[in-house]
Amino acid sequence: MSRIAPGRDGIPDETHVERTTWWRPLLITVLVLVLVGIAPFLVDAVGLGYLQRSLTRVVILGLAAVALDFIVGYGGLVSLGHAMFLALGSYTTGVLLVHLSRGEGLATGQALIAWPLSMLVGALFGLGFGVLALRTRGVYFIMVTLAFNQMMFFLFNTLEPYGGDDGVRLPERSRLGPLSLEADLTFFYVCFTLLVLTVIVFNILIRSPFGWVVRGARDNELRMKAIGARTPRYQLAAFAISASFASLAGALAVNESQFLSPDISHWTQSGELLVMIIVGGMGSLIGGVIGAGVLLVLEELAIDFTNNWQFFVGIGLILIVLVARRGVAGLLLGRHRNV
Amino acid sequence: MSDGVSLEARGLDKHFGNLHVTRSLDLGVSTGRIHALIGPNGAGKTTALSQMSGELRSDAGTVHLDGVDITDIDLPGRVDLGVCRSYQTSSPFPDFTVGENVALALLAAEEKRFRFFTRASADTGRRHRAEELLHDVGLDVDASTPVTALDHGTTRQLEIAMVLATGPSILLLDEPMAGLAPGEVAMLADLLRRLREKHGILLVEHDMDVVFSIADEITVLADGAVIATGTPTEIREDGNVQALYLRDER
Repeated sequence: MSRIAPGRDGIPDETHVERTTWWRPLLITVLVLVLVGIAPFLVDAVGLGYLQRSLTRVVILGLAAVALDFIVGYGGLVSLGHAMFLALGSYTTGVLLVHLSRGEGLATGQALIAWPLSMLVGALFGLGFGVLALRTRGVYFIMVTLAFNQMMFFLFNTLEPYGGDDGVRLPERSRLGPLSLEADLTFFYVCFTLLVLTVIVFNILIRSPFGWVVRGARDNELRMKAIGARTPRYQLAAFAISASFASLAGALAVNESQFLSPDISHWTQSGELLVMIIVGGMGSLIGGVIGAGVLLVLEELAIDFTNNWQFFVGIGLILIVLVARRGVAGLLLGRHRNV
Repeated sequence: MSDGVSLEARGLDKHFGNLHVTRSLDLGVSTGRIHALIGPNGAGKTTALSQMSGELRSDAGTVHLDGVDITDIDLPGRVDLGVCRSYQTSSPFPDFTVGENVALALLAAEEKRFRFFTRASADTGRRHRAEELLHDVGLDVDASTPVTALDHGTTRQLEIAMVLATGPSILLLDEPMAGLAPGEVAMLADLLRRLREKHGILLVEHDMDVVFSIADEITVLADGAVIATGTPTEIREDGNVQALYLRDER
């Protein structure tokens, strides 16, 4: 029929995916990671050294947000239950540390055992909850994941051996092989390394045959089935992978705070992760890291000026969403997308 | 009908609440034939096609592929067996280029194990097959064109290429010519004639000129029931059909 030239006139920019400069999203990803990597020295240089610990939290929650963006931004499955996967990682690693401090057997402070175990626990619960939650889609999927999240929240609150709703202090952090993580800067760079690996893994996944099917199902699941893909299997695997990395973030978080508490499983924590990827830019992966940075740093800065900081952070968020529909990453990417 | 593959529906029934949309429908198509399904709006053509493709479960009746009962096999399962449908509304994947849409259909149909760590676009064999399929349906655009940049006519061609990418023997096409200009309709009709050599085609279509010129067999549906079935000549002379279409025009 008709021949058409690519990129002809009259095509709205928003729908025109530019592919000629595929490296641009990757360049932005690398730049953001480099910025995060040198941030501890930057904040020191400008006399904001007290932000050091916030930076570690940015890296940890950024890691969880990247994992969440994989299923929300690329899978179209909005989960309001990722706090429970954070908590599952925290409790797996935390419980082992608690028993170690009590001098009991089978306990370990070895990160090389505890952190992969946390990811495994997250993946298994992700499979279990995913099978049930993926019987629904859309708003119902959000509600079912929220319900599971609340269920787990109340379960963690009843774990009396681990302080119940009060939680319990951890005297020590995990050890990574022979490496002690007690020094905050060492711990920061261990978390940062894991963040970089996570960003690489998910960037590979979205470009793999597996990722193509997941992304296709986001846009039109029925059509995807009509060309032969059993989409629920792909979505379940994606959900479990995402859950597993959220649990890794949880294992890091309990080491950061050295405090095992059910608060991390509260549904508002799930909401906060979602806000991070909305602010940072959904469907970009690196947006999760940007969002975590913007949100936590805004919080730290606003808290110095006023007790009503949440009000001002809220206004800031509204402005970001109004100005940049695709978040901060969207502003940086312009017409480009990270696919 | 001895060679090739045949898809056959026997006594299909479907209710949507109080609405009886398919009434004991018998319908069959086999390799080398174009069977057109026509009827006024709301006659249940698309519903029947959805029941045959496995998208909708039937309340009663069975679907057979080469005599084997496939009633309980779902939509992706029937794609594996070589039955693939298209949709009335164009629905390529907006996030992918023209070539990638076809490649996506190729990999969705052939990959039954997850592959996490290879780049989907790095498979040059698949990329070439996608370009061949685009060429086969007469779509001569750069494979790296975003689908959102295609006009309606070329999008319809892309849809056919995506269906062919699944390697089907039976095509269930839901109004492939909807909204096309006359010249485009003629080209697509030629394409369907060519595809008939190796495929069986069940065609839901509103363009009567096309239907009567390319179909080997026509079934007329009204209110979910078959009121006539036969060759184009038989259908043209059928009193019931004439009454139905005259009623519509009045």
